[in-house]
Amino acid sequence: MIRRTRAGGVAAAILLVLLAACGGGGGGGGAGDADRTLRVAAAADASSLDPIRGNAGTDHVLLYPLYDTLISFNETLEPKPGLAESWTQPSDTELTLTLRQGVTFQDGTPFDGEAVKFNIERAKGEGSNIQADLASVDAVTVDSPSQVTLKLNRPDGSLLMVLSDRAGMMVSPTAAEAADGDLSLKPVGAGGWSFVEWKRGSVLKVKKYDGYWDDDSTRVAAIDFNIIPEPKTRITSLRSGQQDVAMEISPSDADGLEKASGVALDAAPRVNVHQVYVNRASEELGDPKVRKALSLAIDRETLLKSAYFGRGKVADGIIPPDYWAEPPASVKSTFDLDEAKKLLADAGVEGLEFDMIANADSATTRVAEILKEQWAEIGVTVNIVPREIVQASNDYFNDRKAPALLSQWTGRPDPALSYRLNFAAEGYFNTSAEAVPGIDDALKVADASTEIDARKPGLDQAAEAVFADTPFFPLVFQDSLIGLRDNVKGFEGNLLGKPKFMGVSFG
Amino acid sequence: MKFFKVAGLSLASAIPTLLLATFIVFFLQRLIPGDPAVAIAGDYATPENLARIRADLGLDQPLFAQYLTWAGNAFTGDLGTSFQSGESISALVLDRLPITLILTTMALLVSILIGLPAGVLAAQKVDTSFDRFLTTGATFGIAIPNFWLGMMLIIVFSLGLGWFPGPGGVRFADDPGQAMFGLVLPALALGLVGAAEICRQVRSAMVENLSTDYVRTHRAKGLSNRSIVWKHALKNSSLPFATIVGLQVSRLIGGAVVVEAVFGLSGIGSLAVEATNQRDYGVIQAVVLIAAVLVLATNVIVDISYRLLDPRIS
Repeated sequence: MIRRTRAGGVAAAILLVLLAACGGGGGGGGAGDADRTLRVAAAADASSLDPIRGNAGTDHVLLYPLYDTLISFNETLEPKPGLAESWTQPSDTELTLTLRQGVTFQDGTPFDGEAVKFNIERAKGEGSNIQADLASVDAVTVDSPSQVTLKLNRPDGSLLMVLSDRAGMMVSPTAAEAADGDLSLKPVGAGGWSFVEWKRGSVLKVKKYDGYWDDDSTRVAAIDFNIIPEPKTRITSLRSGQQDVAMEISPSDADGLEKASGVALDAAPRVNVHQVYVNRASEELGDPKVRKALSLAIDRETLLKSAYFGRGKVADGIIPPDYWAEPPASVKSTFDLDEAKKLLADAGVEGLEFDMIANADSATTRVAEILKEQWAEIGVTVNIVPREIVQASNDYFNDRKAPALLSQWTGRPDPALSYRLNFAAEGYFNTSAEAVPGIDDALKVADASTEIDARKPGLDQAAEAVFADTPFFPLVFQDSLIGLRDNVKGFEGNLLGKPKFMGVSFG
Repeated sequence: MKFFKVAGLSLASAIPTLLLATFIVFFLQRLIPGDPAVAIAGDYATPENLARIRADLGLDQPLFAQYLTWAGNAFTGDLGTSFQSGESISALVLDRLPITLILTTMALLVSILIGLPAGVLAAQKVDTSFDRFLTTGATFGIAIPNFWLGMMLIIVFSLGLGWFPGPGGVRFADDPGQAMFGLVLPALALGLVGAAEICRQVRSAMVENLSTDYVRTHRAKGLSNRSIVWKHALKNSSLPFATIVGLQVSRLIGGAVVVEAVFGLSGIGSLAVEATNQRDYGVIQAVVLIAAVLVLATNVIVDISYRLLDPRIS
């Protein structure tokens, strides 16, 4: 009996070793570098592969390979030529785009003025989630196959960068008509990679498009976007060699990844700001002095070190530093408890207490607890109301159940959009429905031109108007943290935190 | 003939339970706070977008009417379309179900192949240090959360020794052999807790049987220990074994939600989590329906096995 048991044990051990030997090292090996697939661990699946139907900021990383945009941008979000080689403004309500020639969609359909007109009208039409982005566009005229003019109902300087976002992602008119207007399952664009397969919640596969207009671009043969929502699983998958790139690394895991062998961490600033949304129409936070006092009582440097592990930058406004639209030097978040107490006394407020809804994840809860302690220093009591993210948004933006929400603003490609959506009277994210004093005038200046030098004074004015009224409490711009295998070369991030994978190769 | 009658009765009794389960889940999920339109609009929420989405979803119908419509369609195999993606829910579930079925089957095999012999061996050496080692190990096994065990297995066997691929590896469609190999660690993480439970149950049933008169009679007649243990005592311990295996199936389906997340697998467990986060009611309902069918089918099989294993049960 004992002999049999031992024999069984030995057999089991041999089986395990054989199983391990047969398994090999996992995918990715074998093929030459030129044919290798780039494996990317993405934190979330695309909500839709049709650019006008999606709803999540995380979609872009999966959409960029399929769709080139009319306007592109550099790493600091300055506009640069995309499918439109150049642009001019014949008047402040007209934007003329000169289109790149010789471009074809992945189904062979030529890209021309008619295709642009089709796309803009489609994005403004029924079923589109981005109608609001193109609200200033009244009509599109095709001047020639290589030129279109967008006729506007008001000056809109942000339109250029809007065309670098979903609205500028060109889909094949032939494919869109064949799919009855919905390209969610059969996406066809003019990007560097064409669609192969999409298993929702699992993987999106794309392969290099041979007919791509930019022959000189460095592109990997194929990209697999593997959907892995769990942050720690993305890291172990990267470290074990199952992935080449892992998106959205948590700040708490960044140090560990930097020390691990065979992998590297790409840390870069981005427009995503962690902030406290404030309802200025609420009884508790209606007084600008009270809001300024609360902002002055936040020790952002300590918050950055303890809650974000030093991975980011302190936020002075809704636009990050090192961005062409960064706020002027006069906009500076300071930590001053004495001034905060004085302002509360001036406002005649004593024993202030209010509810703050917070997304119920561990990172946000950590920030909420630190804020609670910091505000207690000036005698303010905050009741943290943890809610799951959808419920938090619903309770704050729709039902307005609390005067404050601790969450994030994921940013927009154009700074004026961030100001308008958060601080103009009609902005969905402005729960007071009252414009911040001076914001409309400032945005008029910023909208008068598409040239960034001409727009900057208006955006500075907007930053100062927001700083004076304190309609929100900016906290920290958390770095975009992306894990890479050592053999991944040429990776470049951008301020949006949404890389395009152009120029990436295996070294 | 008797077998078919028993099977038919068991199946018939499962139908009301299934209907009740779908009914309860249908109404419970409507109690989850948060507007589905907000989840669907996401970063592009505007009053106009929210109004359009609410109208499109048709959530203005009375709840009971919505349930009847859903149940009627489900009966014909149409589980509707996803709020979030507009895809057919049946296709979505069928796409994600195989990986969960394979994972839970492998985990069940792990539970049985480890738990059953361990329980039998422990019962034969009752009150020895070997028995105490196994029962203590089983107690630890039951107490260990499977997500922690999963992470430990990854750290040791994948990152450390490099014997097994890490999470988020090859898919069945790309390389079935590699994909099966990649499921070994998830199956261990999911199945070892079940092995511990089976070990404890089998041990106590076997200890009871090995001390009965008929076993003493077998020994007096000179029957070999092997024959007594594996042929007679184990057969008489098979009812608690069948019961615990049946219970394991529902535990494994529930545990798959966590293990799939730890190992980056896209099964119906992760589909349920995504759907709940997005308030995708139809998908949640479909996943619950599938899980309920699997659990009820297991119960029916266990019910039938009782009658086959012990003819005294009528």
